[in-house]
Amino acid sequence: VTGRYGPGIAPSISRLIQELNKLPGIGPKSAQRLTYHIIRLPEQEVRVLAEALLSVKKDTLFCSRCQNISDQDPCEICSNPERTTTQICVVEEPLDVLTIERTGCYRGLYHVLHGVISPINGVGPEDIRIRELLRRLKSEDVKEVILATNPTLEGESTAMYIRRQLTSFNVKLTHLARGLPVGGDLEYADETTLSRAFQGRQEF
Amino acid sequence: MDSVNQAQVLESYAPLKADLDMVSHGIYVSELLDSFGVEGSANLTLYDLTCEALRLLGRKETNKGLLLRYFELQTLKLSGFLPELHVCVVCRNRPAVEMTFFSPDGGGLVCGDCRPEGMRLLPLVSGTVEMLRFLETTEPTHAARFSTSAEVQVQLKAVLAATVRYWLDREMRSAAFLDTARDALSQPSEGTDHA
Repeated sequence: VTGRYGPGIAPSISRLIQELNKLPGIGPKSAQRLTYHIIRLPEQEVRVLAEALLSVKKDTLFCSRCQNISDQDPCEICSNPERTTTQICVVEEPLDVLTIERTGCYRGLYHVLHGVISPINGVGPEDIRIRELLRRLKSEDVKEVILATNPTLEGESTAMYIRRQLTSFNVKLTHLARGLPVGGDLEYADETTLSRAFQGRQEF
Repeated sequence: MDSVNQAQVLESYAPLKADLDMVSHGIYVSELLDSFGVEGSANLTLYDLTCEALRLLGRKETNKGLLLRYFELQTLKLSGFLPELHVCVVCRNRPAVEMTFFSPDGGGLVCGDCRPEGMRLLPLVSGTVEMLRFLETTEPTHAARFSTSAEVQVQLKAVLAATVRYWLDREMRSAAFLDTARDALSQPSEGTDHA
């Protein structure tokens, strides 16, 4: 560890920079800034931060039903009797659940895949939680599966793979509408987005 | 560091993205390009070839397997790794068609008389050498329309996959997904017994 971030840097500082640098979106410069910020904090605040980091790992688990990260099993959403249990919205990541929940327009359950099929990065269907989704469909009374993967190549490939896997289940399969974003401009829309917006046009 | 200020979609290959099997083939082409392309070194011929391959993969009538073999061979050629397909890499004589082997490590064809100790050799059936030579010189549209026996297709896949693996020193990651996508389309899903 010593010397990686310069000969004058103490091994403990270098180690923290290195660990922070492993986090998504944190480059070497940001890792250095965060490290020196932490050094300047009062010891009590650093202790609270360290305890929070340990606690988030120790006190969270995957909901056995929807695979979302939670502090209880089943999670709050899955155990809420007011949710519609016959609808499952399939999302890529736990953060997608939060985003959809913020809209307040969906009252069904979720299924979190924890990734997407990305062959170039070596991620296949067996590496994400598709098997768990199929198991749910066998054991639960589900009427509709809403595919809410991102409209990227990987997200669409994952959706197409799931669609194929669900052909023999007696469920309605839908996916989120594709088209123009609110506040967007036709001039800047690419041809695929625009053609999908036309395909999905609604009576006004 | 370069800075990208603007991006524009020149061609979205929409038909390619509408089907899992086509997508898996397109991803394979992209990974091959990414693996053999050299950063900071423009290769316009390889770029044009990739665009053409992606366009042809989006057509229902395309022989997608043979087009992938064509793209593999042409990518090797344009990257300077074309295997020797005309003479034996050991004795430099033209091998008899019925006694021809292929050595990914040796760099091409090996005749039945040579077969050096320790060299990994793939025996070739009649028609495979001719197909390799055809794919070396033909146009992508011809390769996409051509058909050949299943046995030759299997051999072409093995020969070119071994050559690609030799030069990359790793497996193509998207190759496994090609098989997964094909299986997903041909086999009943887990829910069959439930429905």
